[in-house]
Amino acid sequence: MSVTGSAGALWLDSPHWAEFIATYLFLGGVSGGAYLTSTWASLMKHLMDEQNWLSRLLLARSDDRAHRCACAETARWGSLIGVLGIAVGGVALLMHLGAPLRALTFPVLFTNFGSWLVIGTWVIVLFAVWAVLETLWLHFGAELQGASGMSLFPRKILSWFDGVMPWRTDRGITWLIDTIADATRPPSRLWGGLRIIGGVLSITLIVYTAMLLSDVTVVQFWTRPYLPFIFLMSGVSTGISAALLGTVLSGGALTRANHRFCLTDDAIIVVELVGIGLLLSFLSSSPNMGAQASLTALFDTYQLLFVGGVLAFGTIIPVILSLTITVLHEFTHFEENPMGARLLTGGYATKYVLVLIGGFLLRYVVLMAAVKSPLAVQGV
Amino acid sequence: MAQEWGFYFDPEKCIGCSACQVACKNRHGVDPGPVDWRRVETVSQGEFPDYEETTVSISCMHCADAPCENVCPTGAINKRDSDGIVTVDQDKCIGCKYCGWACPFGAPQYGDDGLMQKCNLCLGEGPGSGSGQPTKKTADNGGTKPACVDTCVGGALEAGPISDLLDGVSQAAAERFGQGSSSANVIVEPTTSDGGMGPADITTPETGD
Repeated sequence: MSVTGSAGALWLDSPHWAEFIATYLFLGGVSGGAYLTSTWASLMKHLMDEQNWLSRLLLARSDDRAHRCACAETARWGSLIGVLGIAVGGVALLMHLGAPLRALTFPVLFTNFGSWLVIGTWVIVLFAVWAVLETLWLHFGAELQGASGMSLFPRKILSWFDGVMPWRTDRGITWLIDTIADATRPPSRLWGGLRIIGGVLSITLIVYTAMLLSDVTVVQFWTRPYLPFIFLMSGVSTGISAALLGTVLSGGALTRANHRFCLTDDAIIVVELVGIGLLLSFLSSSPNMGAQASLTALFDTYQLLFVGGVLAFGTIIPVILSLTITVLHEFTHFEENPMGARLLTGGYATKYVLVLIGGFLLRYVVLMAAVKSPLAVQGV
Repeated sequence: MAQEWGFYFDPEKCIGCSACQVACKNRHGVDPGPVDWRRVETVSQGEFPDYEETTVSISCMHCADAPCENVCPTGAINKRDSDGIVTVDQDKCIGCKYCGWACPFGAPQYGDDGLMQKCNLCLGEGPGSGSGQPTKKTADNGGTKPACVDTCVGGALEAGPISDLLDGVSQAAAERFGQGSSSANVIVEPTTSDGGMGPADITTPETGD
């Protein structure tokens, strides 16, 4: 029965999830998006080596050394962020739970496979396995000994441990992991197949973070298909931003790899904005009082976070910033002087940071502005 | 399913004293504070001089198709086949609060331990006490009345097998319940003081479907 304005209504408090779950949802999206970015960067690097019709179509020129290095760095950053994101996100989820240790027995305890929490848990587990293996194979191996690149900092940390530990030998932790990576690294075609499966898993992970919410049908703000679509776009966008922020830190800001990923990110952000617009339009046209209350929350209580944080600083300004950098980068000689290069690098980094902040704020306001449809008490 | 239990509520008889709320807390040892398995809410409408307030007493509705059970990852929430009462096994609950979002009535509550607790129609005493208990018996058959029903001073609340409850309600209330506007197992008596606006009803909200 629909809720009408002529009836009294009971509003129920429902702020069951807040910053921990927002962090979990955000990092789930970032992890999935970063893994996808890593896979795409690996493909680009592979195509540069192959020089076939697809590489010509995608202009993967083998003579661009900086592009090749940036692709390698992006691939490594992406897989690493995939692992770190899902690990920290998992901790954030556990911190929210009433019985976190009990939740760790999920293989036995989680029996309701109709619940998105159970589906998502297994998606996370599978994704984590894929991301860890990808990180192992990209960051470790005998051929990477002595290699440079900021993305390789995990092996540098392990090498440092090998050097300072009292039991140090020539064959330390790094050697052990290198050996495991070389022994387990699959041949190229199989690895490609595994990456495709990983890509499907990462998209499933991103979409899951929204399906978890949109399964709650008494919250119209979380309705399908709008929220899953918005989260998918935001997840991929924030994943690209996180991975490419790493590439920028590695010195790859002015490479074709970064430039292309940045423009791809812009296109995704624009599509995400369309999705947000459609959701707001749906809410504003809905007679549901909960939908109206969510709209009021977005543009009143959480106006600063939503309008300022998500829409302005999280999406619109990054796109404007990115397009400005692109114009300066492509059509001027701005990058040829050191100050110009630093400004462009800073611009890219700022854009990516803003997108990440916007992505987190999006999850936060999606949780905080969610209002359940009120109970109708007719005839009072 | 055998006899499915539910509640009956007559707003005309409710005086808003909150005795049901307090009795529930007492029987189940729920500390003073925001956790309420049953609560009395005031719904207002209109403006002076055509202003009216109605009090409603609500708790878990032991829904026929319980959304809390559907989303619970561990199966801690169980809609019992034997009597239709929705119980929670706190030994399985991980405190994710997903049920709190899914429930349209705000029934799931979370104590200091972060685990879900809610009305179990006094199958036992204390959080999680309903899980694993034998089939609920009526007071006539040696069972205990729920504390809220036992304490209600105006006779506004009743609990029992739905079929038994329907025997004693008005035709309008029975018809409204039979129309199945929601899956909540609560029969609400119509009010007559609204000048013909229609019967009072606590309905599930419009969903996003």
